[in-house]
Amino acid sequence: MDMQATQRNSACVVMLDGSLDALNAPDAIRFMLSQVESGWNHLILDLSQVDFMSSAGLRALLIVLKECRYQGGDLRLVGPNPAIANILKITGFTGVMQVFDDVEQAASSFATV
Amino acid sequence: MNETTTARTYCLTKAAHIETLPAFREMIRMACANHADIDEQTCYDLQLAVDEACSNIIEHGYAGMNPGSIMLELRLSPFPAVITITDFGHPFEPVDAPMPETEAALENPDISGFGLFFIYNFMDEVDYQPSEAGNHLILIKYLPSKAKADHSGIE
Repeated sequence: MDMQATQRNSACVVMLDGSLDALNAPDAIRFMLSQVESGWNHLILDLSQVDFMSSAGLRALLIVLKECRYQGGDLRLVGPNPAIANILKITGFTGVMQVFDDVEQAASSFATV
Repeated sequence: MNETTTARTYCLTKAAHIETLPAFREMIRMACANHADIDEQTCYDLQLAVDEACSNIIEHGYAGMNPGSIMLELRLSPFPAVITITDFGHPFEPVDAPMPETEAALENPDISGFGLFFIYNFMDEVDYQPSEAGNHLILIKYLPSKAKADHSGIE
């Protein structure tokens, strides 16, 4: 899985490319937590290039969300494909995490915090 | 135009390692691509259930022993889709469980339990048959209405 982080206003945008499954989730968790440890507690996870997410991926989201909030920030999601958006909805994740259509909207939401 | 869809069986055997999960999902994806009746959401549901079941076998079924193999069989007749996953580890039956509370899972992500929920939520039937010849997990998914309608006219 390819991972990269860029700055967007007051937030760090993490872009993942590939499958967020049990194989890749540990690396994704480490990568995202390293951004938080660097001081980026406003994290935007761009899922637009993620083609598959399992329960291991959901667990990764929870771990990173928990740490972001512990540090006084938040984790917000961008651009899940319809199938991933479906599992986020039926598992109630959309009730505890904000999901946006694009990075611009997500970054703007942090600007109003 | 009359479209005749025949039953086909796809098989893949791999070592029970976390690195083989993508290969199992890819087999499901490729099989679905050969059947016009199967939409993207259904294909995703099948991949997700297989991924979660195989993950459980790798993590729990072969826990404490040398990992053996996982045999995945997908039978795609016009309807339904029947998946059989066979392993030779400790019997580990995926039990039906209510969907975890997301707020509670946020407090303790290690006990989230969403995998079992996905298997039972996205599959229509789940059966588990452990035996000395291997543990067989059978997942059945009824395909969308177009497949059911077509089935009535197929021998």
